[in-house]
Amino acid sequence: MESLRASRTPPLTSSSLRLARLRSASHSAAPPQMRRGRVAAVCVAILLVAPAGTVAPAQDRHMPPVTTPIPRPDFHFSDPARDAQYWRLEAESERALATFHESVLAARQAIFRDRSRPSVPVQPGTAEWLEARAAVERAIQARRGASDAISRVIAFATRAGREVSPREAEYALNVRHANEDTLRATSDTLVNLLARLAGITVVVWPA
Amino acid sequence: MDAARRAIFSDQARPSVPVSPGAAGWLRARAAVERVIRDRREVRHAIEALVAFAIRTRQEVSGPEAEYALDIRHANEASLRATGDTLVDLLASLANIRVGQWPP
Repeated sequence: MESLRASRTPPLTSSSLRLARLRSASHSAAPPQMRRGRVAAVCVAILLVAPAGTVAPAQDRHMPPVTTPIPRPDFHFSDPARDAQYWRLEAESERALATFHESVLAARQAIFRDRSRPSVPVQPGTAEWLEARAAVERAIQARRGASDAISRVIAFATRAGREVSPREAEYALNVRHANEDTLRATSDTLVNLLARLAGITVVVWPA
Repeated sequence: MDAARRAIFSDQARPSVPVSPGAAGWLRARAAVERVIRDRREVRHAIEALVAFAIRTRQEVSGPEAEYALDIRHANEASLRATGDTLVDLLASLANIRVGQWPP
């Protein structure tokens, strides 16, 4: 939660991504897998709220920044069937989030399409705006897939928490919390995207 | 929130049709939505304070009180997410995007 609190819009630089990661990681005793989910959400957030003109010169403005891979955790549920189900759901969630992320980037590019004025959104009601709106609509649809996948992980974690040992239950609770954070971040991301489509300047994250 | 919805769906003859993007009425509706976004920040900060309290408290108490604190956290985090989803719904209406489901 702390990492998602309102703050001045950070520039899109590798240092800001590292800072986001550190904030995310220091938030709680959540295991790396959860931190990874938060990092993904925070990265989406930063990509979205950062004015296009603030992108580091070395990066292609239209591409996501190269991020340092975070190692997969070594946690496993003691019941192999439960563990397999957990990792399957996590993998599905990650794929859906990646699709959402891509659609958000595409929508953002459609909104800020004028390369000579990269921080100026398209004019509402114009043909370009209608194209950008279609891209935002696709992001809303992609978010449904992500939301469904994340919700399945949350449901699994909630259920598993009642059936496992205290140590595993604590892990399951962290899984639940981290995925709820991520889910909320997808909603905040859409708010920012839609606000920018409407020409509303958003200077804090979340909006 | 209600004011923003009224501004978006201001045509009383066609109450389900939002204002046309870029028109003068749309600019007024956008200003109303912008006010909702600002108002939501205060709500958000208040809910976050409550969530932070619940997280802190859960570490300091035990048994039923810890369970209650966890419930408080979950309920308020759900409320927080609902405020975001409500804004998505409102902004989508402003953009004339049909969402058609909840959450959006």
